Amino acid sequence: MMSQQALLWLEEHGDMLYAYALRRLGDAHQAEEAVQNTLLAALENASGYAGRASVSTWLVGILKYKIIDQIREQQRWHAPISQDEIEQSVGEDDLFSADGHWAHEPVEWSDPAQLLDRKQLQQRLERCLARLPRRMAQLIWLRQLQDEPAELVCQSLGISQANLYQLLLRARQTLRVCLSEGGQHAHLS
Amino acid sequence: MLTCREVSRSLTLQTEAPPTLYRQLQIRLHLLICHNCRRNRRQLQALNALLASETQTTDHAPSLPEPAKARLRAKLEAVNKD
Repeated sequence: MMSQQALLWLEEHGDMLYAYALRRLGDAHQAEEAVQNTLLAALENASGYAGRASVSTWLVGILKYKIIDQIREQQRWHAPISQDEIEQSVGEDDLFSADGHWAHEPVEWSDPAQLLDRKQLQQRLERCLARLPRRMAQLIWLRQLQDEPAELVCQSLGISQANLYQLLLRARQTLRVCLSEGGQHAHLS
Repeated sequence: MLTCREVSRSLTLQTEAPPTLYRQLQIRLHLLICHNCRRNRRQLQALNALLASETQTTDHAPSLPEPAKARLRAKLEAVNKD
């Protein structure tokens, strides 16, 4: 009887949960696993659902934690930044010259004639996130989904603070530059 | 005087490594005279706001592929039999 409940959730909210997970994990298999873990956990804790929030809000709440778990466990966080990751992102050495001045000055996200509304910016951001090396995109989501002090993030991912900072700095500056370029690409050459 | 590189580093990692009061003052002085760093800061703030609203977004696209749905259905039905 309980399982019927979960099947109903799957029918009614499965698409939404999957879309949410896929956008943040960037991988169909991982997204499916997150949905599965969410529905199983929801089934186990169905008595914990007090009816205060809507069912979909409750399920997304569980899904967020499952996504956080998966981001922590499934990435090889301790691996050093690869050549591919460096080439597909922007770092301080790309942005600044040796004397610490801007080598590639920030340019506006749009020319004044072309006013971007929030929706267009959101779409650009999604394209930019999709283009970011997956580890960096997942780290951005991890920081968004869970507001933890940097030391705890380092602990749970098993990486040094220097590595965390390097990944985050590259991720954020790449997104910033990518948004300037209309979500096309983030290469500076 | 801080370099643009140092200012950008502080601004980009503000949440993880909040600058000391003295550092904040140094940054503010730099921003007064450097329009590139002001633009960098503005864009980083806008990026944060965009990401924050993106985190709240739920919609139904793309939908769960049918094979995946079938696998999930089977898993959930199996729970019942335990």
